[in-house]
Amino acid sequence: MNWEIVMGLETHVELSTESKIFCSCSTGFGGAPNSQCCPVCMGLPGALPVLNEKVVEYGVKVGLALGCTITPVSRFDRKNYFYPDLPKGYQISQLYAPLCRNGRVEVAGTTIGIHEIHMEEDAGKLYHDPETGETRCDFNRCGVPLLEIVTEPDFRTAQQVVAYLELLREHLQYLGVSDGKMEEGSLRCDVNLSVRPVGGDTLGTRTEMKNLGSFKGIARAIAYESQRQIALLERGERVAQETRRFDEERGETFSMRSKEEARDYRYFPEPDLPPVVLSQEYIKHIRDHLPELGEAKRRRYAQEYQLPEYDGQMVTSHPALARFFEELVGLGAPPKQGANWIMGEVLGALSERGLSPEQLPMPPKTLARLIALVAEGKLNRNTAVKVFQAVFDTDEDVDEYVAAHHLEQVQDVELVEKTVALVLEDNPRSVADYRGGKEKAFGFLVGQTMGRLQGKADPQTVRRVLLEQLTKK
Amino acid sequence: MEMTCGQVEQLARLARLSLTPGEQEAVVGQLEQMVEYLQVLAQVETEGGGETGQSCVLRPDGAEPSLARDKLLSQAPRVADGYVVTPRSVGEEGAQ
Repeated sequence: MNWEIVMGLETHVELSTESKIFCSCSTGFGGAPNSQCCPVCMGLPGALPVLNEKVVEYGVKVGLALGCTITPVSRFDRKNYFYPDLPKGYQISQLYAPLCRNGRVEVAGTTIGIHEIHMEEDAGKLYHDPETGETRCDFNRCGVPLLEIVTEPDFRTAQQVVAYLELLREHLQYLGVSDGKMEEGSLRCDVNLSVRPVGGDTLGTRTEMKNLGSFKGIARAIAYESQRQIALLERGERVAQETRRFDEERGETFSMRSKEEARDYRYFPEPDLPPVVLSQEYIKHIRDHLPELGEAKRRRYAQEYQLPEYDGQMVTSHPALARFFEELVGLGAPPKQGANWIMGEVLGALSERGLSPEQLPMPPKTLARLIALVAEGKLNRNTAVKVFQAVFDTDEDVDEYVAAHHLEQVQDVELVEKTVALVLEDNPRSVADYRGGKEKAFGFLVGQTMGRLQGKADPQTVRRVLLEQLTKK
Repeated sequence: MEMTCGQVEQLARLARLSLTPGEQEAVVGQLEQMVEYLQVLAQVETEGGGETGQSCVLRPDGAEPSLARDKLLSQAPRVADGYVVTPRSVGEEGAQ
């Protein structure tokens, strides 16, 4: 029998606000344990939550970017459970009237429905000590704002899932609401997966996979879990509805708890927070001020700058790069040249230093000037790359650096001709080799000439003069 | 509405309470009464005008100093190296 995989995603996004969702404690990452806590996020009796306006604004932004309807009156609810990661004994979340509903996005040639987006608070971090058998609790993350984005069961392949998450991460970064870093837990994804015979219209029993920490891990977990379910059904067994944990090292999923003894969260309306009422003007204002997202930029770069699709993808892969690119073009750099430098030297230099694009130290004007010097024939491309590497981490002025290091390209064609003549005289063997059909000898002669000119000549001029003189004699 | 001992047991388990059979029976009666009060309240017509009209007050984003850690942790039964210590709690997962 041929099987079809059906999946829906629940993605938790950590918002990059300065303070927590219901109190003014810092959301900073990596503080000493329990140093960013107060009676509100520790759930001490009598402490009252006050909602952070940025959380609502960010939620509405994401909702609009994902084509959702914004709920004019949304509410918070209590999700009750006892576990040491939330000392209150409940999580403030949204069940009955979430902030956003009914969205849709196009990914990998298919439409993915967004069921809802709701606001909630994150839980603390637990460390289990195998030696003492005890659990240590750090509540710094408690109360960090989250958006939970729930899709419809519209995914059929792992590629669609990864494409959706990549698009979601890009949206989050362009909207400036989250760094979207999966490896740091700012983007966490649970996959609900079931299988059914191809073309079936009822859903099979699903499992929920948690602990998916990377795009690669997600694709592997989907492959493993779907095969496991298909094997069970083909043996005439049934799939148990349960939560499973994916073990990245072993590449397998393990049962964590069965839904049959599922916990009852006893949701009820949060009495400490009145409804969040949003006016149409408020929503319109946010809609009118949404930044241009990656997709729109790629379309525009192709139209306005005739940038090839691949270049557009690379340059828009992070909003900081797109901003850098636009500033370069604004400073007069030809778009294709700018893209080439970004894809080659800029990304290379960032990766050598382990920096992310928003940490790019070089101002766009430095690279714009380098590109201009090459275009004016004052620097050759190789020398320009050397200058780029020398000034990448500094504020140094390109013109001053070039002057101080005598790097200006030799403009004097006569000097090139004289040098070529000398090189040919000194290397009769290579000249004979070239004339005998050994193409390689030509490269050697170019290298010799460039060496004598300290690499400062325009390689194309050197090649042209060399060819002229080699064919003349 | 009638409550059963089974429901009370389930609620007690969820709330991490251990009740003696005698307490369970007493709670059954008390819960039934409470549910009755709520059923009376539920009869109130709330459509149109039921809302208080109150809207959530929002706070501008911005971090302020947290409570001194020593003070905060003085409320916890057990503490080690700045962490709150609880009995082993592996096997169950948290929220979300």
